Amino acid sequence: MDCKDVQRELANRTSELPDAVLAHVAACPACRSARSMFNAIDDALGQVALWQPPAGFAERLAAKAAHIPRPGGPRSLPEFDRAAAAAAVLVAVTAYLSIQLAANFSSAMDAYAGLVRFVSQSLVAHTGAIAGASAAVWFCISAWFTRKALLS
Amino acid sequence: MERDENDLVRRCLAGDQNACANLVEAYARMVGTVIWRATGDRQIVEDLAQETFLRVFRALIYFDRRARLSTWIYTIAHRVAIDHLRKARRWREEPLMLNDHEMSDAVAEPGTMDPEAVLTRNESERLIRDGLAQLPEKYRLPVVYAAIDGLDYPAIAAMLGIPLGTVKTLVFRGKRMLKDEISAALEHSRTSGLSNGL
Repeated sequence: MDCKDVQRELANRTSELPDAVLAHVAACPACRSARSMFNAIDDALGQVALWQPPAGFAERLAAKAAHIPRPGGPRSLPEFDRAAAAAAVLVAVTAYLSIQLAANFSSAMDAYAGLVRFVSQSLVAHTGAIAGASAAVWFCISAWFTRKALLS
Repeated sequence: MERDENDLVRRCLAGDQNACANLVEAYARMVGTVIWRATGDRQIVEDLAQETFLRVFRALIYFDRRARLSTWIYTIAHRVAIDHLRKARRWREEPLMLNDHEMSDAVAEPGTMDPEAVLTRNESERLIRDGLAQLPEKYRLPVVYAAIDGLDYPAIAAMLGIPLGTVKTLVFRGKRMLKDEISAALEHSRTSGLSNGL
């Protein structure tokens, strides 16, 4: 055990120190000094009393709790609905644009037929992937809003 | 214990006002202490503790009953305190001992009646308080939470959303930084004293 390991043990002392740590401290002035300082810090931080709630605190809160609406589930959260609607629109628009782009490019732009065909075929071929990515985005947005709503 | 907690949660969800009061009574002291230690501002504790419990009651339906209710509630208290700190963008440097009652308790310990000892204690508290104020939040919070009696390391890890080993590392680094700050301050005051004496 080196000084760093020993001092890590000393700083996180939650129970009896291992013999190896005690032996090292006995022989090492730097770790003895560190132990004194950590003890002083622990004493100073640890002597502060727990917070005491004022009289009637629990009763007042319990009365307020009675008026808190009990949601039936995540779908009733307005944030969730907004996120779901936004994600659904995103999926629909992405899918529509993908198909339109693929169709229009391949027929209208003859001069760039090869390139366009390649691009349009790629778009058509990847429509599923785009839809999948959109669905993933939708899921992430929904999860984020749900988590935020739960914690707020 | 776990069954009691689940029963308390079930009764709260059923709208039992007494159960809600029991839940607040059971956890208010620790919730307030977490907020107090995180913000360093005793004046704001009651408001933030109240906000914590309102969040608890709103989200209680989603509480995973396999988890510890206490840790879940303290995590919410921690987040409420962090939200407040982010808004206020500061940490108040209040004395560690805040009232006469706490001070008299500390002074009344055997062997600490000597005024010089009290002065030394006050001085070391001031140094520790100043050092804490200098600590980045990342280190300060694990250090102050670890000093709360009744809050174990696994609970702190859950509250901060980090692994247990990381909590230990942050506590160690935070205390080492505090130690360095205090040593530097003591060295500085010693040199100033010497130069004043010359």
